[in-house]
Amino acid sequence: MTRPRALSCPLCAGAVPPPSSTRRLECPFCGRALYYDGEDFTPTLVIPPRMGEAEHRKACAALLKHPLVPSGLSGSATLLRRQRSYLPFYLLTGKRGGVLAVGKERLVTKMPGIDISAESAGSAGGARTVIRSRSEVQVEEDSRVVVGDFRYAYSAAALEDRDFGDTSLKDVVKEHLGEARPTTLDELAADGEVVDADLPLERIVERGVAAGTGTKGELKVLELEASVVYVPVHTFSFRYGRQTFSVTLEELNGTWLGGQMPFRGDWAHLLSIPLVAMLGLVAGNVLGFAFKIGPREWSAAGLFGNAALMAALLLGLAMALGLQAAWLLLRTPLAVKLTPAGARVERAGEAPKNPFAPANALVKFLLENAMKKRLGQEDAP
Amino acid sequence: MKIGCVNCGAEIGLERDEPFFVCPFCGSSLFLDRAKTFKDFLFLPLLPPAAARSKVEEELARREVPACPVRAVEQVLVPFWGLRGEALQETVPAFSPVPPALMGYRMPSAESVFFTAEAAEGFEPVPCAETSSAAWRGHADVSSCSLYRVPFFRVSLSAGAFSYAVWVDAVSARVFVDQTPPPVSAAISSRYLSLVFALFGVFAVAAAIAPTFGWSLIAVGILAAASVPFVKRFVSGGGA
Repeated sequence: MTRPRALSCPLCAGAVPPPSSTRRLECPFCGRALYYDGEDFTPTLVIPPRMGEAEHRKACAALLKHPLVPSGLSGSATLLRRQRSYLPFYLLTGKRGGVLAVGKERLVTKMPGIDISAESAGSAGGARTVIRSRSEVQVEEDSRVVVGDFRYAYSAAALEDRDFGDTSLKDVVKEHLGEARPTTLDELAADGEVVDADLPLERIVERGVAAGTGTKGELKVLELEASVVYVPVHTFSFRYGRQTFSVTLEELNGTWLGGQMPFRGDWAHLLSIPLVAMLGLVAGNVLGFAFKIGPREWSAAGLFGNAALMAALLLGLAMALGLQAAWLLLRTPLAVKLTPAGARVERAGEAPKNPFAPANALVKFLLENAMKKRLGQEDAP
Repeated sequence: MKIGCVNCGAEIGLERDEPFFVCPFCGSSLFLDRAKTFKDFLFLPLLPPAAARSKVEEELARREVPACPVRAVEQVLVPFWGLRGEALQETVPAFSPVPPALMGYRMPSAESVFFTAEAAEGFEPVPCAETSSAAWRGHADVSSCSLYRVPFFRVSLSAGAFSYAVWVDAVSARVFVDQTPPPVSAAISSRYLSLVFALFGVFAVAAAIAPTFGWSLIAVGILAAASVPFVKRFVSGGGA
């Protein structure tokens, strides 16, 4: 972006500092009000943050108690750093107009009658065609002169390192535009990081405003006033155990824009307790039964012929499968992804291989063999 | 430092780093674009590209994070303002947006040379942000400032629905990372499995020595309830 460099007052020829936030200037020598209309200057506006320290604390406390994050997160997470950033948006306003080709649709109903055209007359046997009453849509081409105001907000920076889209922020800019006030970059920089408006305005106008002209006819941009509006967001970085995570808050409506948070794995831990307890109960009772009847009575037929024991063993197998599921849940890297629409659990890596797979295969083989044997005995004459 | 007036072409000697000043010859108001007028230094990279990957792997292992596929390794020259004053020595990022990992970055204590495209071969310069100097412009304590370009390896990792960026300083070999996938290490799995087997043994013995099935149910239930806080602490290892 080029800047105006050397200005002088048209009345007294005094040196006038270049505009910094608005096009309105005042000559420091004669006091005359001036208006700079050069195209090499873009006014800068800011929508001031509506959240202070107390609101930040409240929003973070609510987020750290989200049902998807570990229950002790709000007590254990340490705030590492926080940073306010001002994200730039181009606000494009103006007039657009031109001649727009339009088509007018009309419903035409043809009355019933007899077709006596040459084609019909020349048909075999000279029979006449009877036309029934029918309706059809006819399109009449027309044109219309259109002039209208437009107001668009486009992201002025490529936020590749941020994991939130600019779609929701555009709506926030439009919603709070009434609160925007002129500012300077120095003023913003004293309060936080000012993200550079690095997307060329010409490209935004070409692809955005000019591209939205409709499919028929030509609409041209008649007037265009561009300004850069800075929107405040706040990024909080936390440490939790060995993890660090960052979340970004939009400071006008208080919406969380993006970030990652730890997922509460204690569900899997707690789930494993009743499963292990049931498994231990079954195994303990089988063991107790075996001791009770004594070693002399031990035999495969005696143990496996007992229906209650078989049921207990099957229950034990089900519990073992449940434990494996809990283990896999613990081993799969899951994280909570924050979006403007809310929080959701996403996989942050590949699911691990199940180390119990050989044991599962062995149990499956034994069960299949036992079933085949049983069925073979039943089918035998 | 001397510059030429864009209006009258006169050579003007600058005493201080003021962004706006008046030409003493023609009286024009002038703006000084610091990014184009200040001394530009370069730290020469000392870390070979192959070592960057191993540094990232070491850092992930230290954090007990499973290995993630590397999507890309970029070699970039990241610009920082080096501010000096009477009681001031500060590093301010000269690019935007600044990733949280590089907030509070301090420049390495190594020798620097004047920046030239040839000297920085293989490293792509990150453009200076127009707004970056606004952070310290007008700061009364700043007596001099220079631009320092630090070579970094920006390692992009892909992990499921998330992507992560790890910055490796090619001069000091320090690793800067903001977010990583959650730690799901073999150590955590071992802790979990050993706990499960220990609990199974306790529950099974309790159920075996109980006189009736009802008593075994009560004993296992009480033990399971008592183990809940213990399980939480044991598996998490006092944190995540």
